Amino acid sequence: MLKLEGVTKSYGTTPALGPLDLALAAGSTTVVLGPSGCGKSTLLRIALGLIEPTSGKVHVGGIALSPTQLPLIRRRTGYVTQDGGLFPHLTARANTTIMARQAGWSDTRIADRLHELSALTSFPTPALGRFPGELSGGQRQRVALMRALMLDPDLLLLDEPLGALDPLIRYDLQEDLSNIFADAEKTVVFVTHDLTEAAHFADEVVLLENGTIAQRGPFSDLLYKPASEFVSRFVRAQRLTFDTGTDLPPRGSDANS
Amino acid sequence: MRIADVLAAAALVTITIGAPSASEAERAVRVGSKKFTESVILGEIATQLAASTGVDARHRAELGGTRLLWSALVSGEVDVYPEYTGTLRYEIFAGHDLPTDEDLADELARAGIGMTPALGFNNTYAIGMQAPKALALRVKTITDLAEFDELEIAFTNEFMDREDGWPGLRRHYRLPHMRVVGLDHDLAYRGLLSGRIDATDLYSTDAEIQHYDLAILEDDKDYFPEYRAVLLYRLDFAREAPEVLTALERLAGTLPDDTMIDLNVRSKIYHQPEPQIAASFLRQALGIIPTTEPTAQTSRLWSDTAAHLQLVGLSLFAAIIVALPLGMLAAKRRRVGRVILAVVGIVQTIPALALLVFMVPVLGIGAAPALAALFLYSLLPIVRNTYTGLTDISPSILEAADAMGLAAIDRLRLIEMPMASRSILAGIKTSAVINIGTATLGALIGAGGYGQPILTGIRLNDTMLILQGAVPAAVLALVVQLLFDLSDRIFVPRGLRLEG
Repeated sequence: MLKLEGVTKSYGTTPALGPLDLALAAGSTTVVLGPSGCGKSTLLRIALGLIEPTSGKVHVGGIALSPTQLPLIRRRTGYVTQDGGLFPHLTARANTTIMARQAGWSDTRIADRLHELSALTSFPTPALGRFPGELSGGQRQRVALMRALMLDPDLLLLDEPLGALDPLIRYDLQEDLSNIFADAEKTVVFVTHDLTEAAHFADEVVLLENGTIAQRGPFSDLLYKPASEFVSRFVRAQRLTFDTGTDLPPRGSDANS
Repeated sequence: MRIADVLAAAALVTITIGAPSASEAERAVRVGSKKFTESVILGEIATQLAASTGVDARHRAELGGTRLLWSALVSGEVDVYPEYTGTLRYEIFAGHDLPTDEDLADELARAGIGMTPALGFNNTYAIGMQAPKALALRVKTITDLAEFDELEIAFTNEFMDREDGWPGLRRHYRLPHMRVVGLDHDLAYRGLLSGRIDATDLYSTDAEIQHYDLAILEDDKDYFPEYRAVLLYRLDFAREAPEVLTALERLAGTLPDDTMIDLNVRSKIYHQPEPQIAASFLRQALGIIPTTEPTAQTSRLWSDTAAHLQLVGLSLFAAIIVALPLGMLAAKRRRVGRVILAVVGIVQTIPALALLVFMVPVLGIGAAPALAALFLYSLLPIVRNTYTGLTDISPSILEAADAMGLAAIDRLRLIEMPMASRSILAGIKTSAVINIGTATLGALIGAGGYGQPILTGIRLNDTMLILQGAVPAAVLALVVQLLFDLSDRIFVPRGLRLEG
């Protein structure tokens, strides 16, 4: 579904990413892990054509990334960032449906899809008329998620979507995300620096170190078969939070936090 | 659709203003005058005299200064206006050596302009003192002034700067005075009256000489040049309407110094309307009963308001149409943007009067050059605020829009412009409020509006008249400000107003 071949990105003489070869199967959920500055976000932005790679090729759904193919690829890809990237002048509803309207969907089709999505993301329907400034952080991320899912994309790219949230809200949203990822047809790339999240979602984990892959494989391999000293250190540094993380309280409401 | 309606309305307004003046201007004799009383009276006399020959004559009164009138005459915007031989020699033809009136007439003819014989009086610079003080100090001539170097002297700024003003006078008479300050003419008179100023420059036909009992110091070393009043006219006009020229030439020698002072006193001191002053003069001097009756000044506030709104509204509307795309372009293409911002910035630094003078040869006098100038002044705030509004949008928002696959044009339409709307609206508001103030200068080129009573009020030293223009202008600015604040609620999406 997403294939990177010999992709590099450097800013001037400073390398930011690569060389990187990565192929993700359709329907898989991959967590891209790594410390800040390791090139995780760069990877996603290259996949969306928001950044042009210095060298190498990117294929999305079998289509080579090129300026003419970009609109098509982007419409088939959902993207959520840490701050949600919601348009402050549009209501939650308008934010979610903007591309569907562009695509010429009928009002009923839009309403139906919106209904589905608010159920899927546990977003309260009455709040659809509110502006991002009137929503809580968790609600904003749910709107961002609805917006990314609106056109039912094949590929979902999530860049630390829970990074800015309180632990409780994070926990709830994590549950909802698991349900969404369970959709067998969606290929999900979930970027995080958090081991707990990785453990929660990963079929497969890709751990990046300075723009290259340090280890790739099942999550348990990171713990029990670290490929390098860097991997053990990365895991050890978060071990404490990981151990206690299983003990979180049951899910609650984040409506007014 | 809303924009189309406004466009249509604007076009209609433009047509209705443009049409009548274009056709009527063909036949009418257009007399211009400068923005001071004597010029207005002479212009009115010339207008009524021309009208007495049966032609349609119009007076475009109070049209700014020498440069503007001369430019309007040469470009055919007016046919006749009163001028002074000294101004022709030392200002319009500065640098040419034109000692005799024949030389002057030849030089004028080269520009397609003719000159009537002198009307009579010599309105030259003079140095005036309060009569009792002059008597007490026994100062009778400018030479006498040299002995009193402790006197407080104030000159008009123009006199201070002109080569034939204070710098030349000082050399000619070897005057020792160092503490000379620049002042406005009317303030100088008040200073003389209150005794704070001992001497100032005057014009030798000023109404105040008689009214305030001032003594004119004799120019005993013949320093000040002659400023004899004449009427300038276009030669092609004289060919087309020789009978009008013949009528105007009857004024030769009919206005000696004391007659002119008297006419000035009637206007400036007794506030008689100029048409009435001109009519009574023509009756007495030439036995002419003018055919044009002075027009009543009813519903003046309304017509001033209409003219003012038209100036501000049309220029602002045009500026929005042009400035929005320019601001967008500036935000999208940074290199071009720097040029655009620099150019509209430079336009802003051109003094309004200079801009108006530049416009006269191209756009004539009246509303057109005023609209053009106001349009140019409106550009900067709108262009800059559009640019700022667009470039201030957080990159992560724009990236989100791009990542969705939103086309550039849709991103601009659906995301960027709405998000920049508050800043853009603030720019338009700034332009509108500044325009309301600047539009008062439009009166200097005959565009009317609230500037007209202000200009006349300043000329006649009539505070009430000044307020008749200044107060509505201020009220209009407040109302416009209020309307824009309300329109914030319409044009700025509610989501943007949440965080103030």
